[in-house]
Amino acid sequence: MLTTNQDVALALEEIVRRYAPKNRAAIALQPETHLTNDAGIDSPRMIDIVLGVEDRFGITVEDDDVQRVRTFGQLVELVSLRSEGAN
Amino acid sequence: MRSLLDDTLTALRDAVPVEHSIRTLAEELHEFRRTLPVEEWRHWATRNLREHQLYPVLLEDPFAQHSARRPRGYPGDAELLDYIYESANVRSSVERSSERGQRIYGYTHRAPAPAAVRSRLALAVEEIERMADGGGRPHILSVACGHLREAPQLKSLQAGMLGRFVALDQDPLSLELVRRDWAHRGVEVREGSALGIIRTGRQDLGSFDFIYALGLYDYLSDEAGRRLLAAAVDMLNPGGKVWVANFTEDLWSTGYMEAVMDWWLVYRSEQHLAGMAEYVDRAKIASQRTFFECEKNVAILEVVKA
Repeated sequence: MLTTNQDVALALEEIVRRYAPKNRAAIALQPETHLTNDAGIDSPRMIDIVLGVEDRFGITVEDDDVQRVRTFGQLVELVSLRSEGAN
Repeated sequence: MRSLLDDTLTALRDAVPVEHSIRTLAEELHEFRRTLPVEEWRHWATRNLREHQLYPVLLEDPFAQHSARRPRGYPGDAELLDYIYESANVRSSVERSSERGQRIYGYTHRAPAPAAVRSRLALAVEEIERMADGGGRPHILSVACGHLREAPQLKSLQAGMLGRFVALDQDPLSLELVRRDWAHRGVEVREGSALGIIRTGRQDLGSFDFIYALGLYDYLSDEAGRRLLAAAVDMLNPGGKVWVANFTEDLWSTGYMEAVMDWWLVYRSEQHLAGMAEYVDRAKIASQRTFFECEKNVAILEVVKA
């Protein structure tokens, strides 16, 4: 079970890198990293990331929440919150 | 490739007819693309071509410029397709373009890929009309409806022969336009994404006789596409059908679209597209087939529910 933000961040790094364009897959994912502008995640790839997150963490992420996520840090925060709620 | 870019620039500066120059460029880019690994091609396209003096000239074409600029933050938005449909709401943008830009646009928006976009729309219109003519007031759902440019062509919509027509999109700007133009005809506008359908099934939208997604699969991964199709079949009435369309791999303007317009699609062969039905429970399928629009650049997968 993933219990800390750090665990969540590590798992999310793997998921985001899997769907980032290959020329950006090596980018350092910091809390302030902008998922679209820096990591090249467009809306179709965000669908893949959310599906990956839901499968990995066993949670549901609402559309509205996804729309608000801009940075890697916000994604970590969102998944951590949802994971706490699910446990 | 450098000399090709130089030659194209010279030809466009000399104001010779643009068709030959743009077509040659597109064909050569396509061939070049085929010789390179994906990431090398992407690197060449985003660096070498876009740093060449030719690039700003090509972007005088308002269609290419809109695509490259992505004003709504994502590729292939509904307004981009309006350049293909020659819609009134992009007319001023075209008229503001340079004379050379308008000439390039005159060619690019009539190239095979845009022709296929118009052709797939015409097929959807035919299908809806056919269902409406059969009586029974069909319930229709357009997924990722954009500006719903099929609506003006639908006599059945004007005549009130459709039971329901639900237009679903995640872009509020697109929905605002659909609401303005078509709510008075009974079109129901709903905000929502492919993700929402995949996750919840969106049973709240109701059940339908025809669900279609004309442009969405050009952007979805296989996994998302398979899940979406399975969810869409669950939203069908018995005997209802789903259509998903996808550009195929042989499109010769692919290199131009990617390098110049920064428009990267997910291309699928007819067979690959058929595999999108993999997650659908076989017991729920009465029939399945794939076919092409008349330009043969877009394949359509049809799944009919048992």
